Amino acid sequence: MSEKDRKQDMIQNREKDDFKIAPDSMETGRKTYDSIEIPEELRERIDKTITSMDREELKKAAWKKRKKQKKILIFRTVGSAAAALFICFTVGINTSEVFARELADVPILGAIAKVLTVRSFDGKEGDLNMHIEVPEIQIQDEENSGHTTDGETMSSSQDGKETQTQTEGVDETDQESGNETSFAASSENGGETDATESFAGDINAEIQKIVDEHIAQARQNFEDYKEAFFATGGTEEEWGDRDMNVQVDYEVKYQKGNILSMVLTTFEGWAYAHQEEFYYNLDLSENRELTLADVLGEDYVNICNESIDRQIKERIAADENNIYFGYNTGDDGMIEGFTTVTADTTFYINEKGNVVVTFPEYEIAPGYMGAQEFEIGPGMGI
Amino acid sequence: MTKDIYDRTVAYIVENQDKFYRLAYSYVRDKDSALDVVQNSVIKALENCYNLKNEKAISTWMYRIVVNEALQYIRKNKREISMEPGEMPEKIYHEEAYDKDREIYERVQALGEPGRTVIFLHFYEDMTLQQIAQITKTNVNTVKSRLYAALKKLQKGWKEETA
Repeated sequence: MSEKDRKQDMIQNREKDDFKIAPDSMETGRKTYDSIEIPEELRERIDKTITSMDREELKKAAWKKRKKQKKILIFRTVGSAAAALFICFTVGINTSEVFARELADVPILGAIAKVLTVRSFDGKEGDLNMHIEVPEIQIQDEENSGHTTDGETMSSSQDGKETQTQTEGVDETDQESGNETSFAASSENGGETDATESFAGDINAEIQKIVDEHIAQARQNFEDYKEAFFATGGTEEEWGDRDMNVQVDYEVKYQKGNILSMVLTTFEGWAYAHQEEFYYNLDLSENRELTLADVLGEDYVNICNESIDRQIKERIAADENNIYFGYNTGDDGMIEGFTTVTADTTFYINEKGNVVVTFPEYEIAPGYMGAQEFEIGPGMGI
Repeated sequence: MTKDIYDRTVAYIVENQDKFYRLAYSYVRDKDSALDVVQNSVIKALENCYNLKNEKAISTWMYRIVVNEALQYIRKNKREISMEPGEMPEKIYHEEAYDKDREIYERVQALGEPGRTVIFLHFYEDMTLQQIAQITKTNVNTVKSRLYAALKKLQKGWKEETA
């Protein structure tokens, strides 16, 4: 607030003469206030105080407190259980032999692609607790598109039942096994399949890149944290058994015909927890990513905005603990909440074929509310 | 690395430490006490920042901590220093305009609660009445009436002495 604004504020709120502090000036004591000498020790004192704080512990304490309030962001650590929901469409090939065999004869209902876990790792690596499930989209060749079973049969079967060729070359636990499972059969198909494969290959490469970067970044963050911890006088004893959780997981949200909708989730948890979602909505007949306009039509902005606005209000009405920036009574309006969707707003398609718009945590609601999802309605051509 | 609320709280504190010191000093009127108040405020802030729901409110939230810490410090230590003219640095008497400003500053300090906090925040820290309401956990109308009452008191005292 400038001097001018302050004066105006004063004038608006008082009878001018009655409240003038000093007879012939606008003296307020501020000059004296501003000239209060800042002691040299202040900076050092503050720096010391800050470095003496145990950020990790504070974070943990806050986390526990929030857990108590049952508002904690729940992270799903289930890999194959989620896949089981989409049993007809998704095959977790790194799961047990039994699981693979059970799935072997299940038809894929005309899907032209399937999503497989190509890289799976569960375990400790130094200070890092890793849970990594990396998906890869694989295009079925036409002959076999009706089944999960692919050309080369018996390759790893134990009792004569067909199983998947893809299990070959995929190490079940080795995190370095992100090998590209090749399809000799499908590469001999027409150009259309090639184009689709190349499109899927691009997506796979992008996913791989996100995963690699996430793990590298997490490792780096933890190293930095560790270094800072000891550099500021932390001892081995204080460090104790601190570790970090690094997770990558995915979920196929919808798959039918040429449409595939899935989400890749990366998570890093230590002094603070951070989760990110990456959504893929693919049309494999046109080899492109679907936009909100594709699935909801040109009027998607209005359709979404109207629906989201209504749903936010409903949620607040249902439970006053549901906070959305800019919506609750008594909101100071200091932080901008939901205003509109844009072409960049993320979404997925759920099992009912409905479009679900998503907002990352913190974007339209406080962190404790977690990521926010709004089911909008049936998608076109889905 | 994505910066979280802790990093932003630290950054905000480091950036505004002088302000917190001046505000704290205006309550406790002593360098070491003011440093203690600021230090306690920093600890409180970092201990609680992960529970701060509305991140944009970090400024009013931090000021609330400083004000509360200062008032608590006064209560605990009974260090409220009376306005002995002799305590004022001599140099300010050489300049009349400055002298007047100093005089008002001292009178504001002597107002006590709740008037003094409103004046500190509104006139010295440029807070709006709305923000002050948030800092002091009251409503705007209460802040307004406190402000007017404080100004009236100051003005009355001034008139009586100059008359």
